[in-house]
Amino acid sequence: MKARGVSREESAPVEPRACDYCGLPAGGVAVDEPVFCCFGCRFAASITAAQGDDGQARWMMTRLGLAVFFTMNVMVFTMLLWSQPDGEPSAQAGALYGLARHACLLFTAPVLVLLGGPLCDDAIAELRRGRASLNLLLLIGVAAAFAMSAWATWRNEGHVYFEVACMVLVAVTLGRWLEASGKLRTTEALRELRQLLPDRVRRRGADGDEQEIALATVQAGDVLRLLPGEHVPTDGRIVAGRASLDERSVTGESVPAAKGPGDAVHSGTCNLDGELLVEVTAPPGAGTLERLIDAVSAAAATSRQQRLAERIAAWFLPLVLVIAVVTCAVHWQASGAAAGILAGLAVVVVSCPCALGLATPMALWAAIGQATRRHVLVRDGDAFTNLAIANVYCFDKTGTITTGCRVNDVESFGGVEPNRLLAVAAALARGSTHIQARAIEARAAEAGVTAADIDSPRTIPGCGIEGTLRDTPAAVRLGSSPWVRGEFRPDDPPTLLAIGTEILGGFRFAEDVRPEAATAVGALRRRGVETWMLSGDRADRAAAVAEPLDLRWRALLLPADKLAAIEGFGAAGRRVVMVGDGINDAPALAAADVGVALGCGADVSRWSADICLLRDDLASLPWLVDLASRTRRTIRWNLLWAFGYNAACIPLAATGIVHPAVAAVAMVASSLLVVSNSLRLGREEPSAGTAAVHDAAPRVADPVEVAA
Amino acid sequence: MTEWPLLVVSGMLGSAHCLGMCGPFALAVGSAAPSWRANLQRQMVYSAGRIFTYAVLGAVLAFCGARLAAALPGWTNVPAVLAIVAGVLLVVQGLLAAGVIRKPAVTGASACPGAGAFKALLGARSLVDVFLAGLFTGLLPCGLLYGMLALAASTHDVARGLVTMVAFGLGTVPAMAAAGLGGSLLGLAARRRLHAIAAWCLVLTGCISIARGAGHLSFTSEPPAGCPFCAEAGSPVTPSRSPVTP
Repeated sequence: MKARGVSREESAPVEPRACDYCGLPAGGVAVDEPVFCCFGCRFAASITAAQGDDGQARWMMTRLGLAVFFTMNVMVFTMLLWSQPDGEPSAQAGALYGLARHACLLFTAPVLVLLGGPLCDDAIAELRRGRASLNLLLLIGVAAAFAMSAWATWRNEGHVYFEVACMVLVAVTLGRWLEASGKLRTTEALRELRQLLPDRVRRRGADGDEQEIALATVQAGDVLRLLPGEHVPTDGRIVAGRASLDERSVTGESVPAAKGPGDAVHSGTCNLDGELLVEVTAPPGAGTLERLIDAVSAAAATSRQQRLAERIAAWFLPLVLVIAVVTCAVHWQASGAAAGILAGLAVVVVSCPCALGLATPMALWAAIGQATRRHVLVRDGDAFTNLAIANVYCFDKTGTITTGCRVNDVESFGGVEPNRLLAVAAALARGSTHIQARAIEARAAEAGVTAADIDSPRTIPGCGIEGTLRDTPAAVRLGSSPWVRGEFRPDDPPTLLAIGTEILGGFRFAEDVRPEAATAVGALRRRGVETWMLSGDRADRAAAVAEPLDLRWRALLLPADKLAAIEGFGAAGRRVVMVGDGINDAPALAAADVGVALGCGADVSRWSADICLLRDDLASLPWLVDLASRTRRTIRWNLLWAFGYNAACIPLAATGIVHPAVAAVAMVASSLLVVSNSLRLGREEPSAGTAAVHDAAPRVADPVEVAA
Repeated sequence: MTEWPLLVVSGMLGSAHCLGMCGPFALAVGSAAPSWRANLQRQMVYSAGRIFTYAVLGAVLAFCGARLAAALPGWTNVPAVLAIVAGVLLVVQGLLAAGVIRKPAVTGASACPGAGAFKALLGARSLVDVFLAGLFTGLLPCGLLYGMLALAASTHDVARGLVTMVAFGLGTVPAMAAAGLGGSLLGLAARRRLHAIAAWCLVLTGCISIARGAGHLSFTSEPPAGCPFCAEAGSPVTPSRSPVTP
């Protein structure tokens, strides 16, 4: 069971500083200068001009290319030197080989300058942040190999190791850069979301003049003009104009919402058809979409495995350092300086802390990004991976298994016009969050009925709402039939409306089972998990919904009872997933190992679930569980590889039998393996099972009548 | 050495097949040129970059081939086997191009994270960048190239492997330059026909390589003197030992 309480907003906000290039958590403290999580990102950022300097970016790319060119030259001459037959060469051959050495020297020097520079910058930056880095050791080793070879070339005797210096620099730079590019791809989905926000906006001044300004300079209270087709740049309230807004990006709702003056608009939503004047209520960066992105961004950083990997990396670096120094010393003692330096360098080069550090976050990021594309928002990395090993799934009934409550029938007594009934009832219902009150309001809106004016409405818990009708001052009551009538009559509609003592009429409700519920529950059950429905409703109605779906069920549960049920499963050693309404089931969602919410709405701060299905589509649940399983497998595989690789290769390098150039290639291969393994999670897999859920869902939509 | 002109011809014929993959790159290189002359200059620099990479790969593979032969001293057929491998690769490549064998469809977008940077180099203004673009083009996976590299490996000599690949690379220059200079000169139908002819030429080149390799397969302990391609230059190996041409 999770230790965390219901409201996660209360806990101190942990703000891991994200890498300026890839967006993954970089660790360390917040500083003003750009922060990168690794050398690769620092280098990649300079290539892609993340800091805005295009000329500099091209020069970095050219630099890498030139270094590769020089290294290739060095390789050819090295091959020539390696082909040297044993024994004393002839004078002519000797001169040729001497020439080849000098050529190597000539071609290696620029590589040191071109690639050693950025590596050196990174080592210094890391030192400034108080972190030891392998890059420093790498530089020392490369410099030593070069100096030794230059000396041998000068004296024209002894071996040269120019290719080692070149290969190590090129492989390390190239490898780290490719890793950084891989990481960038995992955060693509979130960047796509962020791109919904425009860079520039039109601000309407006090005297009606208009000015185009950068989004970052917008302040709360500014009035912005939005044309059709434009995205809302930040949260605000409509001052003038009417339009339909596509809110899919923040609520998952595919039906556009019609909005007019006074209505709130969310950042990232799209104005479809009208011109709007919007007063800004949240400064840029604090809007709905940004908060949503921040919530998802924090998910991978707080993962348990990520913390474990960080702890291991923390002692892994010093360990490699010690092994490298010891290796160098031992081989130096035994077979001379060259052997010592080469063996030490091989240890540093072959060790792949990146694979260790990348193993978990990359896989999680790729999966979370993929989920975001399908309108599933993951806010907790641990909970997401737990989804794969959960064995009990509990569903709420209303709004989860069913589409929610709707008014099925409006009954009027004594010839009262149904619309009048709706007008008064809707006015009373407006102040309530009760599910049937919401249904009455929705019905009134559907029928185009304007709510009557009500003074001082008051909610009587467990009974209903009362207030005073303004036009004919009279007390009105809307609520459960025994409360309104004063006695129980079996043929009464469950909810009645009365003016004074006269009963005007009543409402009957129904709810539809979600069309995709049967296939989704079936898909889960095929995974061998237990499926329950926890309902607050009456037993007969719970059974009517649960039994056709083959769900085990419990009824008449108050929110506290649901919480107790979840905790009961947990106490029995089960891992529980609670799928429910984001707001009404908050305690149960927070108590479960994994809380999955539907109907999250736009307000991210109200979410208490680990995972939100923005589209209210149960079919995405089996898909998500499948993704979680794959993610878990990938993480486990990555960690196993990273540990196994390091455990096997470092001792091998320490024995001195691995040439540093080979070590460099092995390191790059290891990193790329981990990266590409993780990136596979981010690829859309048109799995047959999921597609079938969408297409072939049988309609299980028998209306079930419900009551208060 | 008589095989080098042959390699140039192989490159020429083979490169017509390669235009499908590398032609767009040549076009991209040309697109940044203000004039016909500047374009020609850029094409030459671009090809120089490619040939440079081919040469280095040839040298490295030749070295590896020599090491392989040295590591297997009792096994005398290394050059012949490599020639056969090269031949098979070329034949497969040719059959793929001719459409006789179907390539498994590549799924998913390009996984190479360096693709964006490569594109930037192709369109760069400076000739250094164009040269580098050529250099990286040489590293792109290409069946024809692998076939030629196997040939280079079979030379067992760094310098000879290098020259082999330079010869092949030179052969690819005309087609690539032509593609870069006026990719739209030839109509689609003409290009298709050329493509088909090139594909079968490739198969032919591969068959020659296989035959030569097979001709030099020796099952005695006596080492064959020289590589299969040098046979015409006066190899003492008598074909009568070969099981293929008794």
